[in-house]
Amino acid sequence: MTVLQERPTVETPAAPASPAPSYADVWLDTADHKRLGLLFIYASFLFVVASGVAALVVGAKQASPGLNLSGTTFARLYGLHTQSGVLLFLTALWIGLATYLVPLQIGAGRLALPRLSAFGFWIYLFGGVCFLVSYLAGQVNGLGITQSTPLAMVPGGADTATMLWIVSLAMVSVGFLLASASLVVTVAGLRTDGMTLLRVPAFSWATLVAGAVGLLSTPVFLAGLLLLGLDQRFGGSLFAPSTNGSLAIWQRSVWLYGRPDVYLLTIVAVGAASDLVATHAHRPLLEHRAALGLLTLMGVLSLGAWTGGPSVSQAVIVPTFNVVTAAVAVPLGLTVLMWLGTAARGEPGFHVSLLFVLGAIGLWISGAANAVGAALHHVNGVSGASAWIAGNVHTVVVGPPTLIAFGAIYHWAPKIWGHPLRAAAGGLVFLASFAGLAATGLAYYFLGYNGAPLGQTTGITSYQKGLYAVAEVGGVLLVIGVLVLLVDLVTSTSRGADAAADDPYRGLTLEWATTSPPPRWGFDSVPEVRSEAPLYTLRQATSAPGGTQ
Amino acid sequence: MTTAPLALGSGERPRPRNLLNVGVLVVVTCGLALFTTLIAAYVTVGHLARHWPPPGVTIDVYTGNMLAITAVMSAITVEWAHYAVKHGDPAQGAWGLLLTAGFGAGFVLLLWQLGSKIGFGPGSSKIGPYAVIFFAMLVSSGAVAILGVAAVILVLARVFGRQMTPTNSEMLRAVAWYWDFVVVAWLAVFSAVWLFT
Repeated sequence: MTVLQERPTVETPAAPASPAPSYADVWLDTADHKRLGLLFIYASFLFVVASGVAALVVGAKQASPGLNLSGTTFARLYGLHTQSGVLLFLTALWIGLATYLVPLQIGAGRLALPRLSAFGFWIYLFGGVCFLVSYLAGQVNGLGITQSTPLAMVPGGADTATMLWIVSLAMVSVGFLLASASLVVTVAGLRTDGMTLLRVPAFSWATLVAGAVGLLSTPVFLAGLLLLGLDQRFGGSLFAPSTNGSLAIWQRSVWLYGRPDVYLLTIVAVGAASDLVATHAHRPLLEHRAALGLLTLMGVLSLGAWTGGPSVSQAVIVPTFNVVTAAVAVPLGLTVLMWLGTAARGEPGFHVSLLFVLGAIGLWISGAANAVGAALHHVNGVSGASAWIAGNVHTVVVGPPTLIAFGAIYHWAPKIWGHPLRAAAGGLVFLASFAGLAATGLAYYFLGYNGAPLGQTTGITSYQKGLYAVAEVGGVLLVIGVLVLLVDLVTSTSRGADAAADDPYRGLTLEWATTSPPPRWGFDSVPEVRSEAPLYTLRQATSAPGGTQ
Repeated sequence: MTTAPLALGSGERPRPRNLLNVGVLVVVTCGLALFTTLIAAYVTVGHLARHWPPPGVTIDVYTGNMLAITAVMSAITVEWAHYAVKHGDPAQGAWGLLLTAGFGAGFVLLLWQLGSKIGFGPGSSKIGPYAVIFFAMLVSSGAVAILGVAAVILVLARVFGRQMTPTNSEMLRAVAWYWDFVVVAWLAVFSAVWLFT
């Protein structure tokens, strides 16, 4: 049976010289998934600067209580750091990676709805800029969507800054919604021949699951924002403390940690890490279908965030929000075991991206241990707004997806930019970002055990001051990690020599079957798909006795 | 001859699988989630309030009924249009779409009239949780209906341009599904506000 066929070289007449495309054609008017993915990635790194600067100022205030920073300004910077870090940076970074890679992984070479994705990017960018402007333009009301209690109206109606903040959040969410919709339709409808749903690579599957959950949860957020905007603008007192039911509406529709969205970052990170592990183990995942099932289970369980709400402060497993979302740890743990099994059965080779996966596992273990610690110490939960929450956010919600995103950049850089990044720089990025996240997370965990409230600015003891200093050092390390990554990215990808091979890792999935970087049309020829690891299968077939060329 | 490693003649490009239909289902799913949230907020606050709607607020039964009837009529006409085009009768299809666009425009105007009666604005004595949620539902219904009317007009132009045939009517099918969603969303709002309050 012939499994490979020779492709004749066709002599084609030289095409007439056409004028070079303008900058606007290349970037501003593009509907190419690769350029859109890069735009999302680059924009996300612009926004992480704002988040990082705000975090450092907030940390400095807590480590040095004498610093002249008013409570209002502290609250604004705190809200700016959290919202821009989770939404404008991390979510956009993952959407960028998915927009670039998913069409290649499924052999499509394009997005199903490319104009929708392009519109999604531009509305995200415009909304993100408006978001920052809202914080520069005036006094945005309260801590924003990071506080678990409803944002009460301001007498006389909200100011322009608050309304701009609400509208900008809606624009960013619509941008993510459109980009996610395009990715979901791409995986659902543009898979190449032989690429059944159960053969979709783990990262693409995770994108499908996270996108599907996002399609359900983002409109809920938009509805909450609509109610919040009308309430703030016209003083409807819907979210006033005296209105019964307002807490339930707020915590399920608007509050950042009361919605499934925060778990979606973990799902795509786990999907990407699964592909990283399998690629560098040089064999498919131990049980690919089970891995897809576990990712799906994580998506289903993430919807359990809506079962929380006002009663979470009485939950047994305070402060992991509720039993259903804590159960996400089960499929996550099983997936990690599958990674270990895959590495044990394969021929693992070292790659710097695996360090980031190991770091993420370390953070998850730390988070699990501290969940037990929180139950034993009876730290105040969501309603009590303990500093423990900040530790959990840095260690579990944001930390592992950030680490794996950096690892994914090192893993897929040869394909995306046509040049590998430096392994030594990658090691430095890992050390700085892992140490930064671990130090920040642990410092806030211990502050929680010490009874410190979230966003504390007064009554700070010397012990707490020391822990805030540790958290601040962690923030500085994380900023250093991001800066080294950016410098490595710029210097590595701008050098002319050292071009990457098309398949530098003997990859398993279809993105490694095209050139590095891929042509505009994605593939010259799409390999036949007979398994979840089509390139691995082809290699096995050609190397087996009797295999034919 | 040069060998192309790993390249097989399995098809140069993937075959799209009903992208438009999948896209519309995605849009409808998002829309239903949005309206479900608003209705859930209405029911939650209303269930816990002592008086719902609050004293001084009267529900405009006539306009509400007219909206529901207009919505149902438009759903019938858009399905009629799709059936006609599918069975090779573009003239009837055009009439069906014209009527749908007309009903849709009337629906939006009625929503506008209903919204203007609330007296929603700074300083109004009627402002409260009820007004906020009700107005949010009207705004959302109006937004999805305006998009729907635009889509119906677009597909109507294609029918006039003879671009819709029995074998090439996927866009009309997709628009009909979307319009059905607009109608279902309003009927859900109507049920929550007019029938069960």
